[in-house]
Amino acid sequence: MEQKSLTLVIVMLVVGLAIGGGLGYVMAPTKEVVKEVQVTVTKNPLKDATLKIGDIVASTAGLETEKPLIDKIMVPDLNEYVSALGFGMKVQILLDDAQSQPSIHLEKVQSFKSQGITQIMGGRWSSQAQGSISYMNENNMILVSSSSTSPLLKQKDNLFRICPTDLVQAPANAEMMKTWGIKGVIIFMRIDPWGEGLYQVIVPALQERGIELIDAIKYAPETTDFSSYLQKLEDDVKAGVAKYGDKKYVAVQIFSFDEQITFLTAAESYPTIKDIIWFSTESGGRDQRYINEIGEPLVAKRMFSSYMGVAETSWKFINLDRRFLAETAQTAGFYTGTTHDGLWLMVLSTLEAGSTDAKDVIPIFINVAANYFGATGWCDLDEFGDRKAQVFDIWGYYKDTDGTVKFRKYGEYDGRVIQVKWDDAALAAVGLQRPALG
Amino acid sequence: MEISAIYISTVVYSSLITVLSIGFTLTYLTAKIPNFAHGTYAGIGIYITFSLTRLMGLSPYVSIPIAFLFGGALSMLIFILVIGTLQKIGGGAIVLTISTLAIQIFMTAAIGIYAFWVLLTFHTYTQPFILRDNDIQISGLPGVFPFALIFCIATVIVLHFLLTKTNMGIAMRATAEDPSLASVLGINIYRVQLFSWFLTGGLACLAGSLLPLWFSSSPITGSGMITSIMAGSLLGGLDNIYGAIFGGFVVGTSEQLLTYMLVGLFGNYIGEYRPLIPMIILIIVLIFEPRGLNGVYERWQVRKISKARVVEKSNAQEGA
Repeated sequence: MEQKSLTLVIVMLVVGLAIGGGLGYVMAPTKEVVKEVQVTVTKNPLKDATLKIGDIVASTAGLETEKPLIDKIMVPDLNEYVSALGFGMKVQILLDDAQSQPSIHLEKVQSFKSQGITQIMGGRWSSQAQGSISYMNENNMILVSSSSTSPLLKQKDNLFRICPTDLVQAPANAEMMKTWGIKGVIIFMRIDPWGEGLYQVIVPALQERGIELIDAIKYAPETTDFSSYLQKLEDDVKAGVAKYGDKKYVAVQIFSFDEQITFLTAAESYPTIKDIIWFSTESGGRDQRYINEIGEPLVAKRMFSSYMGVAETSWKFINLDRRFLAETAQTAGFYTGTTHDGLWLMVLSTLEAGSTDAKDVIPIFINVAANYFGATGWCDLDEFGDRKAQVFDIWGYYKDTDGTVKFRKYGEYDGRVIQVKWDDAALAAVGLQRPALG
Repeated sequence: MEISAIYISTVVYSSLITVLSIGFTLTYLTAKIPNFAHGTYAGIGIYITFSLTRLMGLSPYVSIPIAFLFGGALSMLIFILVIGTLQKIGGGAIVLTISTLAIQIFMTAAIGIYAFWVLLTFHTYTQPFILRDNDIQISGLPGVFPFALIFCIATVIVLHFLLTKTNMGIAMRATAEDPSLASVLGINIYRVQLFSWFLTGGLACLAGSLLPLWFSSSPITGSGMITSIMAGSLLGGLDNIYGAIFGGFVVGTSEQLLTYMLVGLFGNYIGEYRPLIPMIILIIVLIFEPRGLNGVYERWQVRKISKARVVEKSNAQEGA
């Protein structure tokens, strides 16, 4: 009996072992096969590399300030920074000129591409950015613009804009007019994506604020003789003044580039428009050239300009402004700052990507920008690669006690809350008083 | 005295286009080629005035004699180096015409380089610019208003006197009629052509020197006027200087005043099409009357003479 029991235990043990062994075999994790793989890690992928950035100014006049900015400030600063980090990479910036033409801008982009340059600082005018961006998307090139603002270009592509779009600026001007008591306005503008973009945004903004759009006079960007346009403007303003009873209720809004220097001078020959209030964008404000070229007529026109605010109190802007003034005899404006910041972002993104090729830089550009504080403040870009809404300064021209014409900040427009704050003390200091709003 | 700015623009622009059209026609008559660089001489005049006024602080009217002499000398140089040389080696009308296009591109680029050099060196804004502030005032009117008109009228009178009362003028007319026959008669064709290039280059440069006193100017302003100049010249009849006077004034007035009137009638968008006005004039003339107003005038003259002869003949028959 005992033997039988012992046999049964042994059999059960054997069977149990067999089942357990079988189950263990089936359920056991697969055996890892260790393979030896050799991975080559480049310690410094940018060692001995040269980052070549093509820089295309919008018009020949832009070379006057861009060349010293690049040669004397940007290239030395960027190379010093890269060298200090021990990357061994060199930064070269090749300057060219789009001669005010979108077609020439594209030619320059293609020329840079043929030299193997895929990172471009350009498209400064929206028309030029628009004319080149398709080609650049197709060829994995990056276009960083310091001043293109047209909402028409708000797309997920290879264009990154270090300035906010007109979706913020046009309402700023409409709000400025409303708070200045303007009842009727005539828009005098160039026909290009920038002008059209602003126009399309400001028209509903004016309607919302109860300001009548008396007329919109549009001219081709190639126009050099403004006689017939200015005469039409004179007629329109006269009609507006007759309707609203006083010059103070009618204004001219201009969406123009440097051509406004000549037509603002020419406007002196027209009795009504020569001292009506003119509102402008960033291209008419805080600019020493306007004082040199137009001078006193600016004072009568006020020329209230919405001008993207710079980080005035930051060391970065103060340093840039001081050096820029020394090199060019002009103060650094917002777009000097965005050019500075755009170039820094291109270099920082290149270092981050470990490659000078734009196709490696593009995917990380927005992230790098989000963490960069430049001469124009935090460079946070939205999902489309455009600078997020910020604060605009309101600038204008006045005559100082010594008889010289100067520019001065008269207030702010906060694009985040859509609110204008005029600096009444600054206005009073130059003898201006904001009209009482009825 | 107050005159609306649009009328000042019309008179100044038309006067200058007229002088430029006269020069274009004169070059065509003597060299038998359309000089596409003719407007670019005006571009040089623009920057002579700019340099004297903005860089040297002189009155813009000082540039009048300087622009005339500089433009004339430059035009002679171009004739000697390019046109005359090409003529000597047998270059035909097409080669010579294309060479004027090349000269135009070269000179426009040279003006652009100069403008940029001034910008970098003197930090003075060179494109676009306007010199209205530097003009003098005469009875409350800008000086360029009477000056441009007087310059245009004086050019017409002096040219008329030159062509009808002087030996050089008669030689120029003979060269224009038939260069081979003029040569047989002992006229030095080369000298005549050289003189006419000096004259037209000088006048064009002078016209350009007045332009920035009222109009916005840049390195391409002069070359950009060539369509208007050609339209004025062609409308008057390419082989008649007096026709160019009329043609230039019609084209200039149309561009300024007609644009303004059409904008008032049809809306602001018409203003964008202003550059088309000289083009349309060119097309209409080429389709309906390729010889311009001169052709119309000649046909009218022929009809008048034929009619007179018919009358004479019938009178003679009645008498017999």
